[in-house]
Amino acid sequence: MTAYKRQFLLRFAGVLILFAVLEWAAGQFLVRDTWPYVWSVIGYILPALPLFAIIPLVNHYAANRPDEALSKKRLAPARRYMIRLGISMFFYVVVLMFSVAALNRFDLALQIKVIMAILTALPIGAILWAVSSFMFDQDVDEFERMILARSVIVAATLTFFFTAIWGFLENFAAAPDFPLYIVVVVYFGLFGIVQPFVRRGFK
Amino acid sequence: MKNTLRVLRAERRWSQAELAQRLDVSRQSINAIETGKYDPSLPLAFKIARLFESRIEDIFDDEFIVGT
Repeated sequence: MTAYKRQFLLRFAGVLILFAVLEWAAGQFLVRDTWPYVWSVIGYILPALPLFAIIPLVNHYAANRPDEALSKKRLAPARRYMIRLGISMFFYVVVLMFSVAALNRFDLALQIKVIMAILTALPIGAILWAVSSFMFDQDVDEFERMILARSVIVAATLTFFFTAIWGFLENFAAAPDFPLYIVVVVYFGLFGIVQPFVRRGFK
Repeated sequence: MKNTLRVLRAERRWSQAELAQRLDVSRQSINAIETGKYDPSLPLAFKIARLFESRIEDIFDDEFIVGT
């Protein structure tokens, strides 16, 4: 790994850690149950703002790679992707905070809960769409698209496999209940983890 | 697929990054094509051929696939 890439990954991890710490701090020291509903939600949304730092961070990384000067045409889809991803992730945090706080505070009708559940999942759909549209973008380097497509296949296959194992563990061995929305998290985690291995096959 | 890309590139004293830039692809693609692990798309193959002023079949050799 080059020093340039290491520096980028450290900064990227730094943003995520900052986000997690700020959220934790907001819950511990800032937001109080006595606050009005909307204010407490905003108290949790504001610490998510650093997530947007990922967009310029990735842009800067892609535009200044010493080993690889990408043309404007090649940079454009990456930029689009990061902006879509950043906005979707932020909206996910916003919707999630509104829903969780509402569930905790109010006695909601079932219909409202159903709508809220779907609304909370919508930004996840947007994140999945951002990834797919990047992969199908003709302006993205074809080799890169192939790597991503293979990574999706490997990650999805492993996710199916793990969830199948866990499903049987739940039935046979009383393993703890695995919330279904975590499947997306597992998939994205694996998507990131398998990429270097997929790439290694072409070196 | 076997190919003469590395030789052609060396003749012109281009680095992988330089060739990548001329073809507007990533350096990793050039590396993967040179090692024969990745076959470029037809449009990219034409682009490569045009850049080196030769024909696709003079750069890429599929004989070991036909033969086996």
